Amino acid sequence: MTPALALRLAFAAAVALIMLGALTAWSAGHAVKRVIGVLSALGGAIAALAALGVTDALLAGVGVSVVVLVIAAALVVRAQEAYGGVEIGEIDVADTLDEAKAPEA
Amino acid sequence: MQPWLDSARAHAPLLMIVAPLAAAALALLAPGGRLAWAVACLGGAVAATIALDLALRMFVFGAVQPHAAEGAALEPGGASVACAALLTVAAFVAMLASRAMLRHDVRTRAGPMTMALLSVALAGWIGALFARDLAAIFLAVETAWLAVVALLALAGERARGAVSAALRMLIAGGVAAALMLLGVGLVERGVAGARLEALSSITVATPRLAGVGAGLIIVALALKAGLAPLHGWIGAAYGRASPGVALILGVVGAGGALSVLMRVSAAAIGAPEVGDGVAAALAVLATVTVVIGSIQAVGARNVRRLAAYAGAAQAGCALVGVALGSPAGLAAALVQTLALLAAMLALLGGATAIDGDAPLSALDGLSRRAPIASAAMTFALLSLMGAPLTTGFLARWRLIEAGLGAGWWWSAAVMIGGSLAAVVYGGRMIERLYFRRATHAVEHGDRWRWARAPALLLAVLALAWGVEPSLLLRAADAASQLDLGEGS
Repeated sequence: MTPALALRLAFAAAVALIMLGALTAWSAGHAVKRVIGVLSALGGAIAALAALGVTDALLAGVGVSVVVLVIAAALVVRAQEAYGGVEIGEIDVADTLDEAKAPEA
Repeated sequence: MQPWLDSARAHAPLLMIVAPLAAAALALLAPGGRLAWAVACLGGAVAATIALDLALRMFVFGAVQPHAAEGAALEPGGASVACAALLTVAAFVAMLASRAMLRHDVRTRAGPMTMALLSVALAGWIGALFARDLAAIFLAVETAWLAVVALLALAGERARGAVSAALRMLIAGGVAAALMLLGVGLVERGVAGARLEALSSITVATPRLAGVGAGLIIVALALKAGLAPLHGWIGAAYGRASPGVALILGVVGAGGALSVLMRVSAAAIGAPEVGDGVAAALAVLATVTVVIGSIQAVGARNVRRLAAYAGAAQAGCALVGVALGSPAGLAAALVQTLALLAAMLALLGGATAIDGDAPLSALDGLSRRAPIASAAMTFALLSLMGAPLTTGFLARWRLIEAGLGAGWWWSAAVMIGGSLAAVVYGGRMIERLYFRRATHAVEHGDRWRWARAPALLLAVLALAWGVEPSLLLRAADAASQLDLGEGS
């Protein structure tokens, strides 16, 4: 396998990881799974940058991923405390009920 | 004194970023919310003053744009300076109005953190407007976005709906960040350079790669600006946020993202190898946004959700101007951005007069209990409709003129369709404000409610600028000529 082919394969795998992560973030029924999807997509993007040889944005990507992880963890804990669970469906139902309590909302 | 002033003017873009960042650091150290609010407002006022000074010097007095060596690579262009002036002024008055938010929407101990996050968000968007390199733009955008998400999450301590809205924003924004990062990599590889302007000024080595990269960056920014069909998060974020946080989301969050989107799009359209494809994609995105945003605004039953969807539709109109790729189109888009920010300030600022959730029925008879807020909301709605003598009318007129000049007759239909939809939802709101009996209570006795008066007053003045717009049009034309004119 030539180095050029290996880089192309690595780039393709990274793009696949981004797509898989985005799909999970879009469709998973559990908040933690959605967060994992986001982090997978970000990890894929960082891997793609590495395969492309673009290094200046790579560090920025790593930093942003860490901050996203920290905020997501805090939000998941807050959601667990506020709703008693982190199933997206249950959270949506609870929000809908909250809004229905307001007149004509 | 003059040497200091000259030095400050030479480093104006950097100072616009540093002032709110320093204010954020000091706000965090403040012992209470009131001092943090004062410090953040001071930082916002400094940034707004510098931005207005820079815009006046560049667009009215014809001064050369500053190119001081900063260590950080900043490159102020015409659209970015104009958008920074609009954004900093709007953010400053929104900061003033946020005093009421500190009292009602977040816990007392979270006050300093709230004001610090607001200042960081402002600094982030200004940084993204001026950053020269794509990686720096990415970092600045994400800083601003994550600060707004955290701000929304803080409001979740009082209302749990804000927590789920923040989670939704974080997930949508995280996916957008991944796409933007990939786009940055593809563009840098495609044009063999890290600068945004490299798209148009350097021969593109691999056009397809650069085109896909530019498209991904634009899609990511469109998601953060809440443009349809990528706006799944805005209904929950605006609807479940507290009134004050919704104001910040609409003015600083969506306004900042739209400004950066305009800057990046204008640069990509100027690229000879990929410009046509980017323009076509932007035109489709803008049209879809106007149509879907207008339909959702007509169907909305919550004031803040309605404002969010109406704002998305108006942002779509601005994007049509950018997609034209001409100085006339960009100038019209800048005027439309002013109209949009002023309308958001007035609508969402006026909606802070309503306690708790804001169903449309809360507007019933509001004009008798909150006349200033009602008058500001009415002005905003008339501008959204494109009523003559308002800035909204002026923007719509200039957009149609620029569209017809380029042979885009359909753009006139899009603008008129957006205005007709605004007549439906705006008329419904005005009818409730003035011709119905009140069913909801309005907060009284809180003297800090007057803190939102400057925001409402400034919004009304900006919307009424359409009466005598010669200075506004001159500045918009000068800004667009700098970016897209001959020799730019």
